[in-house]
Amino acid sequence: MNELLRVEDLFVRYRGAAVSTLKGVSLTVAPGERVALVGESGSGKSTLARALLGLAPVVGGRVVFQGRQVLSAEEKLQDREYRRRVQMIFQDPYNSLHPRLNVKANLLEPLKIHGLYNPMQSAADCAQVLEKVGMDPQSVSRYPRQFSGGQLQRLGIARALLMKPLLLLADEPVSALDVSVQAQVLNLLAELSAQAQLALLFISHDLAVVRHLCDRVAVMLKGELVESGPVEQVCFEPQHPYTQKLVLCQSLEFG
Amino acid sequence: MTLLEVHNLRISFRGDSGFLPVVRGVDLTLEQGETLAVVGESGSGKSVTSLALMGLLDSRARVEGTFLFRGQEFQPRTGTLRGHGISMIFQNPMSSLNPVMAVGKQVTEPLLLGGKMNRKAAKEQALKLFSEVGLPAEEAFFHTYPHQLSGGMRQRVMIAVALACEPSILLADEPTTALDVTVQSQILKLLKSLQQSRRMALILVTHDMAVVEAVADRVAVMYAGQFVEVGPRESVLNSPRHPYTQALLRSIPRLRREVPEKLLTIAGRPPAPGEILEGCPFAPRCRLVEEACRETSPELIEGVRCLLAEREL
Repeated sequence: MNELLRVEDLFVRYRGAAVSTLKGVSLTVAPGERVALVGESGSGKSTLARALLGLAPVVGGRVVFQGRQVLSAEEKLQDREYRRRVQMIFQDPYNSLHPRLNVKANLLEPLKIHGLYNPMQSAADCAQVLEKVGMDPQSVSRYPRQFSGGQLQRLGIARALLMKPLLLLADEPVSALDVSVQAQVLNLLAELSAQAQLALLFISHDLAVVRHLCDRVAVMLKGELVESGPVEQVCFEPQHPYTQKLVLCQSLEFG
Repeated sequence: MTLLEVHNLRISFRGDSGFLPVVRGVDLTLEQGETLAVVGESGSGKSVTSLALMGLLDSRARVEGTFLFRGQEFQPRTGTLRGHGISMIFQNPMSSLNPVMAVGKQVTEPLLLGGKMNRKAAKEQALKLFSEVGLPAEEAFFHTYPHQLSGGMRQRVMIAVALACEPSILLADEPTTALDVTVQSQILKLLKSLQQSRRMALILVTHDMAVVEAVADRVAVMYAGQFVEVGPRESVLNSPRHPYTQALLRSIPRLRREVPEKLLTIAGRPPAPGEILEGCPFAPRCRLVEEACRETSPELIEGVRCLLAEREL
């Protein structure tokens, strides 16, 4: 079967919490597929991303990557290959780069941690990914404060790309950006995923953006998946009452 | 009669090297019962404009211009119109409500400040306001605190506070941005219905075109401290004339409309205050730019501030 990532009946419960934050979420992502997770705040969509990065306490279910189990209630996330191939882009680009490191040091840090750093090769790779995300390769010696939000988000994407990921987790990557800059980043993500067979798990609350970018949508409500399907189907023939409400509210663009 | 008129509003902030112009000559009129949406990106000056109208900018800001309310000149800084003339709601209700005061008291406070109402009457009025904004009009709710409420309910409390003195104009600065999509539409519907029942004018500051489409009568598009396009909602949204408005609308994915495979992007970023030297401030990012655009600053003519649009007329 052609799948990159399979989440099986995943439960997350934080210590001291009376109820689970994720209550049995199952999801698959195929290689190169663009899957959106939508839902309101508190629905658990960011928790799912955090769990996939090993940052949330998984108490049940498991995560399978390329056929190998990488995470379960008993097994902490240790798989190096998985850690490398699944990369994250954060919502707030201003806080996701180290302010005291220049661009080059920021970009190369994950390579060093993973023991993939090679002085000659890595510098060349760095220039190459910067070019790919539409940044001047000369910017390697500049510092994060010298860039705008849209540029910082591109740098965040460049840093993720250096690891040659197979799956990008993007948690509301454009909601902190201005409208005219949002389009630049969305186009970039679409392009990259098409070129490099890069799968995308795109977390958003904006169905319009999702419809533009993604192939499939999963709708979350109170820690559960309530509906999932091809993007056109979910946006135009929503089945679950919550999805219907969501679509209706976004069609406020009367007309 | 025109409710509010603002002529040549200029706002600058004291910086390290003199005053930096943030709003550079805004003219604005508002009729009774009308909804004007002011759209723009961060830094365009839209929020500062509304803060200036409320007289909420501090001494670092220099505000110049002429302000008329029902034909009478007024100085926003003095706050004389605050409450009964102009009232405001903000983006984040949690940081605009007092966290250690029960919500009932927060609604009666402006009523009692006027000095025309006693405690009992104010409380009755507050309960009436609660039911008007869709909150439980009960004694128990009167004593709840903001942290006990959801984001949507807090925004409703905020609206009740703003409406307490029956303002003629309600300024809403990104009132739904911090809320979930489903709650957003409830709050917008509430604002719209309150506006109709009270014949109140609404100035809605937002960056969200879906919100504009849902509630605005007229739209003003702001860029680099100026209105670059002003007009009725249908014409601005469906046949925008300024290249910035055109680009902005084409860069936003829509749920109900077919969009091209690739979203249109606007290269570069908006100019920072003080960066604008001469010519049209949008010229460096404009795809239709001509030589003349870099030299001459366009005027707002027939609702558009663009040399190229001017030529077509």
